[in-house]
Amino acid sequence: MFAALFRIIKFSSQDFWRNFWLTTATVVVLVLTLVSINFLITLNFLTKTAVAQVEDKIDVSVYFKPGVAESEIGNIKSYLLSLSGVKDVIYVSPEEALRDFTKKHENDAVIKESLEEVGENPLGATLIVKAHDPADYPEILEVFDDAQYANIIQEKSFEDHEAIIKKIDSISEKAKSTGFGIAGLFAVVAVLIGFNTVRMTIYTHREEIGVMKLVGAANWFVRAPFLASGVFYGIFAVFFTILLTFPAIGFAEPYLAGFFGGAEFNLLGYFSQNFLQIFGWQFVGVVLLNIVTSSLAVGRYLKV
Amino acid sequence: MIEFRGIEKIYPPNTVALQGVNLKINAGEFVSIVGQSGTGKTTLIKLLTAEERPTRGKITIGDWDITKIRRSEIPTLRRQIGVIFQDFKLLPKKTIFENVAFALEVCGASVGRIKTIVPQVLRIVGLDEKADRYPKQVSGGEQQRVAIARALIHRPKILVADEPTGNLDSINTREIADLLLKINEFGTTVLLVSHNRELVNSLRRRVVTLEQGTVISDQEVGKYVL
Ligand SMILES: Nc1ncnc2c1ncn2[C@@H]1O[C@H](COP(=O)(O)OP(=O)(O)OP(=O)(O)O)[C@@H](O)[C@H]1O
Ligand SMILES: [Mg+2]
Repeated sequence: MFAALFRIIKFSSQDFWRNFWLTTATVVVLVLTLVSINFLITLNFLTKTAVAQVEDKIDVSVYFKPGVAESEIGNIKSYLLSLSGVKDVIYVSPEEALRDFTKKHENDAVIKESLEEVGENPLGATLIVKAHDPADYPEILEVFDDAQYANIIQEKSFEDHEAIIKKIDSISEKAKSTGFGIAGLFAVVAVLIGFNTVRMTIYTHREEIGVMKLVGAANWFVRAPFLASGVFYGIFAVFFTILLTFPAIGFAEPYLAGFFGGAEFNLLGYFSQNFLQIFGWQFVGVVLLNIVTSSLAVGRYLKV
Repeated sequence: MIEFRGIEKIYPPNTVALQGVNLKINAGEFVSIVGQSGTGKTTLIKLLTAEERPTRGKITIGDWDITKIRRSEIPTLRRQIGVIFQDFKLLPKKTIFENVAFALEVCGASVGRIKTIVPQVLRIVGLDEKADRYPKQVSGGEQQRVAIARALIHRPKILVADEPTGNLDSINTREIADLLLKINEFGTTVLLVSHNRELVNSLRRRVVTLEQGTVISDQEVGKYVL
């Protein structure tokens, strides 16, 4: 059994080197297929990061009228925090609000002047509410529609950025379907080239195969080297894909990070942390693809 | 031991290669099968090695009915029937030793077994001295002896030779014939397909004559009648 396994590996690895150009072509298209799949994974990661970032910017600001007691606002804050959809509530005191406001408008002479004219702080406190999920905001906003708050709330503002999220999604959907199309196309080319490689290998080995059958080699033994070569292709394809992917990420990362304003962006970390999962599945996929291809060619050209 | 009963073989669409063939070959016999070109001799052998299936009839080896043999059983059958051909079917890029060893290798034999058995078999055919040569570096007769060594490697009960001397001169033909007789003496049933009248007559063994796919004569100590 061990001897048989060893011989199968020997036979198929010999072919691997003997048909160098065919092997190279097969491995190259497999690598292209995997690279486009990794491109899809990257795209998915970028979209998620972008959407998360935009979602993070969504909040509801509730402006209270000046003079509303801090304790009352504190009660509202605790109530809000008790709601399941609420992630965080930030209290901005009237003084902080004024500071922010003056700072924001420090170059605006008119506003500066009118503030000075008023003399006292015209601003009330603010609560900034953040939800776990953008879908929770309608519920949160409803709370403030209650009549009991009507005379203490000056204004509510809610910017939901929904349009931006939709736009990101639609761009990434388009990019994804293009990516899938490219990956699919490469996969088809990989099958065609793989099929032809196996056919050529069978052809160059027709004498050996004939002798094998003549002397009573088991059917699986005749077929096995062709299937084993699928594993070789898989190993090489994944190896070269890894070799290409990491430098490519390393190169692109600073640009992408710049684009996302440096916030929590770590594509390299994502690929490293999920290394086994990403490349393990790619290896399994490529090997399965090759085994299916080889089986087709063997079934067609190798009458055992 | 080998029995063909009511065998008919039609190649699609309508080439009748064999028709109403009944033939019984006992263990240890040496049988020559003769007949003109295209009378179905090779077809008969292909039916025996399950390379082709009969259209009608039944073939048994011992009490094994191989008529409806499963694909997975064919290798077992082939290890029990050694076959040699006019064109030797040796692998040119392998040495004589490797050619014979290949038959064991692909059947899963261990390296140790290969190293013991191959020299033994090469000695039987008288080629142990030339084991490291390539097929091109030896004569046609010697190449056929390599093929015989390979055919004997699984110690088959039956050896089938389809025109083994077709490409050989008379001296080499004689040598191969003597070797086949020697193998037969050791107890292997030999089936020899041949066109060579002189050779068949000199063997003084059973001769079966085919004509247009049927057996027209079967003589115990036969002559090439056509
Ligand atoms: N694979 C095939 N498909 C169709 N017809 C075939 C096939 N093999 C053989 N035949 C036909 O069957 C008949 C018998 O062929 P076979 O090869 O058995 O003859 P043979 O007696 O061995 O001839 P030869 O002495 O020339 O080798 C011939 O008419 C041949 O053309
Ligand atoms: Mg013939």
